[in-house]
Amino acid sequence: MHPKYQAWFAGIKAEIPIVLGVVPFGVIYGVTALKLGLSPWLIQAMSTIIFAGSSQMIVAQLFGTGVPNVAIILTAAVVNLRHALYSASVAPYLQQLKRAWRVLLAYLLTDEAYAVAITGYQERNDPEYDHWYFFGAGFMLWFSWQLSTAIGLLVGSQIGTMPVLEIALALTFIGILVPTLRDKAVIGAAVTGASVAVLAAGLPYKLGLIVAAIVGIGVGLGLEGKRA
Amino acid sequence: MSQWLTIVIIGLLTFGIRYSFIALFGNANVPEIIKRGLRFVPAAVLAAIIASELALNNSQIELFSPKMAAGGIAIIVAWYTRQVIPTLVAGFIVFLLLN
Repeated sequence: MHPKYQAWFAGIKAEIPIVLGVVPFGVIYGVTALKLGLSPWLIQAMSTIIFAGSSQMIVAQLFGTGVPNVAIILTAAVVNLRHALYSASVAPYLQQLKRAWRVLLAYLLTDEAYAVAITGYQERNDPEYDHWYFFGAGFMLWFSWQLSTAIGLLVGSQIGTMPVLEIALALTFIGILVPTLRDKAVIGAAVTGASVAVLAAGLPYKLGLIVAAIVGIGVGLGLEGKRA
Repeated sequence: MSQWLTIVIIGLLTFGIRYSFIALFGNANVPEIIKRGLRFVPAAVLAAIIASELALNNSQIELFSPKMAAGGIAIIVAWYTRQVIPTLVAGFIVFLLLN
């Protein structure tokens, strides 16, 4: 098999544990949006066009409330603002790629694909085919998201809630993050990010996450500077 | 404005946010401090998401809960096994036992 397909399949494989956490969320999104009275086509189209779970959930809820569409658009944009950090983080690795590749990978740049892709870039050291790995991870997540939305639409209200699914995503992220905590500066960034996120949870539109990220990065830089 | 137009605009904005730095970096040299800072993005952001999912209950801080216990065990398992699946399984078991 050509190395590019090997990298692609490796990306798909690395994404599978995350998909286990994402599929229930997609189903819940489909079911919830249906219950809120949105048309099935619109619900599925949001998964393709927006492709960002948290903001889709918020948009679905706001559609029913009479909030002006302009305000809904702004809210969704603010919720997705954290993706700018991912964009900056992967950008150096994508510099050499053609525009079509950069557009494709930007479209696939979700929380869950980013987590796998950035680990791949840091650990695989295969610059020639790492973008295929990213593409595999992103594609797997994309496919699962479309499919789980559709399942949510099909099973509708027949499905009950399963509390254990609440923590699936957090546990998966732990499984990805913890093995990458190798030096004091990175650990400092993680601990700070976690603490600030909890303390700043009162901020609207997930802005607490942005604040947490910025303070965490600052602490990481500070600790690194001290050591050097 | 229709719902369809609204989601198309949100989709374009979301893509624009994701493409922003990828588009910029192709043309410009990035300052050293930014490059060094980017190394900490995954740790800071993922830890922030994990903490908000585990330590918050309807925006209220809740440090002693089945979710936190499951997260704590998951961190230990992840540290030693460096694998996602055992981490997930260990966290699930603790969560189910305490719930």
